[in-house]
Amino acid sequence: MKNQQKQALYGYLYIAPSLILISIFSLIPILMTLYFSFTDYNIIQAPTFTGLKNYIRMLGDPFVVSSMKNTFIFTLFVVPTQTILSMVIASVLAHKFQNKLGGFIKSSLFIPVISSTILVGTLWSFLLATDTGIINTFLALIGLDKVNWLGTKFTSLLSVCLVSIWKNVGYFLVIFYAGIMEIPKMLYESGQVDGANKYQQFWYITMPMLKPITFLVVTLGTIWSFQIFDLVYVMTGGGPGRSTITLVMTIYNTAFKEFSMGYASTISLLLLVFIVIISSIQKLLFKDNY
Amino acid sequence: MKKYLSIIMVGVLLLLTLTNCTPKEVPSDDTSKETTSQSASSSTASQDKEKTELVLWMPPFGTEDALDKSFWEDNLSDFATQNNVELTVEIVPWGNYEEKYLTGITSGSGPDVGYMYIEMISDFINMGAIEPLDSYITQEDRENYLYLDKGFIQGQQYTLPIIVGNARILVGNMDLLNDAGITEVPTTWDELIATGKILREKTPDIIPFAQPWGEPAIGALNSLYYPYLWQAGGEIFTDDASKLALDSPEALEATQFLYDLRFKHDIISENAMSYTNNDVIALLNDEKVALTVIDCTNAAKLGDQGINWDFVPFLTNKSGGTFVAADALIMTSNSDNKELAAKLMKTMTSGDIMTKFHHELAMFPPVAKDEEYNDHAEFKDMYANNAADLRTLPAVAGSFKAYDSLYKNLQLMMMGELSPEEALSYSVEYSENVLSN
Repeated sequence: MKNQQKQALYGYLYIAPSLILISIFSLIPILMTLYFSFTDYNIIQAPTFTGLKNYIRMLGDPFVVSSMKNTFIFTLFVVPTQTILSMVIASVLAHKFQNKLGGFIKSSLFIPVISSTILVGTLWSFLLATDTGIINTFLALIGLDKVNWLGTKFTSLLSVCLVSIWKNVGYFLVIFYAGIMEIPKMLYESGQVDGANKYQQFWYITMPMLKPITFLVVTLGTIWSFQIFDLVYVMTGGGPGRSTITLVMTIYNTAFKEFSMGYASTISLLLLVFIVIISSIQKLLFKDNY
Repeated sequence: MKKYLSIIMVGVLLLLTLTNCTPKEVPSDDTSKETTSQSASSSTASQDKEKTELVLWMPPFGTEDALDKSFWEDNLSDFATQNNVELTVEIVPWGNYEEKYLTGITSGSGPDVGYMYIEMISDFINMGAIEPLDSYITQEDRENYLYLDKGFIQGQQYTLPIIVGNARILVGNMDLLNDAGITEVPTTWDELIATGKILREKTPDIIPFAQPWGEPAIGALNSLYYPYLWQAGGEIFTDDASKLALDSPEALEATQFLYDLRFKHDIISENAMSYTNNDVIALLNDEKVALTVIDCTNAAKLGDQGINWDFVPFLTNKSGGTFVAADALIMTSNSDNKELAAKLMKTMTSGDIMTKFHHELAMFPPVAKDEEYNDHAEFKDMYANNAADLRTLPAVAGSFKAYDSLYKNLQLMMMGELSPEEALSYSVEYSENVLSN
């Protein structure tokens, strides 16, 4: 017993540094946010307790409703697309291009990942400019009409989604690639012996073996998508209208333009709740067989 | 032995973690873009008892931050020497400007003297962050400064206007207008519509009237909407500033005018929804735009681009009216050296320094009688003869959200998703909720 208690104590000591850091930089700020969500607080003056006023305001705030909707649409489009795309590309590279060309493709796709989001957003704003952008110039050259990429409700959100996918697919590609390389080759050989073609091998061997990695990719992708801010801020500023405004952008505007930290804290908690719920659902869905 | 080693390693890790939580002191002679903390200032003052520290925050007006910083340091060096001041000048980029002030003031790293624009001032006043200047303004100052009234807010003199100018004017490319048989820039709403229709018909590849509806900042409304509101006889806020005053026939008339330019007369194209200010200026320089409303500073550069341009200060409907910037110097409440800070503000806005500022950094009209007119010559008559029609925004606390909602609703209207009535009613309703909070 004494030995077990000692073991437990050593365990706590080992995790103490991380626990302290997590408490200071995550847990305590969350608790503070919870407190401030019940106050009227502008940072400069002391907070004034207002009860549920911020929560009631949030329920009817058109900015919050629009940003919630946009964030969900963004996530629902971006996460599956980038997950499937990165998985497929990783599979193709792992099975067909294990050579210098494959290495070059991987490196090329990873460059957007390490590029600054601000730079990426600015660059794509130029590329997607209606009158002077290269994309529209190319479309005109092949006889198609110019598209108002950043100026309509549908295309502005679509543009942001596509740029986000372009930026992140390289990251998840590398993760999937590593996972695919770990899959025992004898499984594929057995599959071939049983007559499985490459698509069946992908569906019945690669995908099930990648389930833990897929869970990680989907979870990370979802959390990042819910936190999308800088790309939208640079490319569209949340417009036109409220077409691309996201939850984090609403939190930022509320906190630093409206100087309502209390209300911004309320919206932040809403974001936290969404992420926790969705992460829990994902964990349940991916629970079996891994 | 292994056990003891493990315990020692864990202890070291813990110690390192806790040690790094100790706040670091910022070096007192740091004049880089990082802000210096007030606690560092006071520790410096204690080390060097003769010199008093003052921190000045200014936005960039020159072509690069270094130019602005060296300008203010050079021109305020005499003030610093005569008053035994160690002056730290920091140039604050326009991006995240309000955030910088909020976090700086909160953390005690804010300036003694700063530069603010009208939309942000009331909020900081209400937070108690800005010091009233009444006790520092003499009768001689009141006779010298031209625009002190613009800094008289909530019954006190909170600011010292430093820039009043950069009006939004209607600019025309005369070569493009002449190609369509038009000899003058339109001066009324009806003339704009008629001119736009002629341009659409005769020069279909040219944008008749460009507007930057894709500009993300709410300041875009200064050229996109407010001039037309004032020209229709409307006002932005009610007298008691409890809501937007856009539930008026005048506001509806102005809004309908813009809506009709887009959907009835096809003078504003769908592409305008993606244009930023920079896009419009680039198109203007490429001679693809016949008419647009831009600020004087950018208009004055058109000649350098070889553009044959002319302008009118504003269109006229029931009255004239256009936006003019009225940005100001403020003193923060937590300044430890208020007397010196006030003296610094007056020095900065003195005739000598303002003349140099307008020659070297940015041309604007004078803010006091002790300076000659140093803005572009083509705008002199406009500022002299149209003062009553050059309007600034009202100083209303919490106005950002109201303006933001208005801008978003107007964008939705220009995309065809809302009618003018809906755009205005949603904006007014939202402003009522926000401003009552």
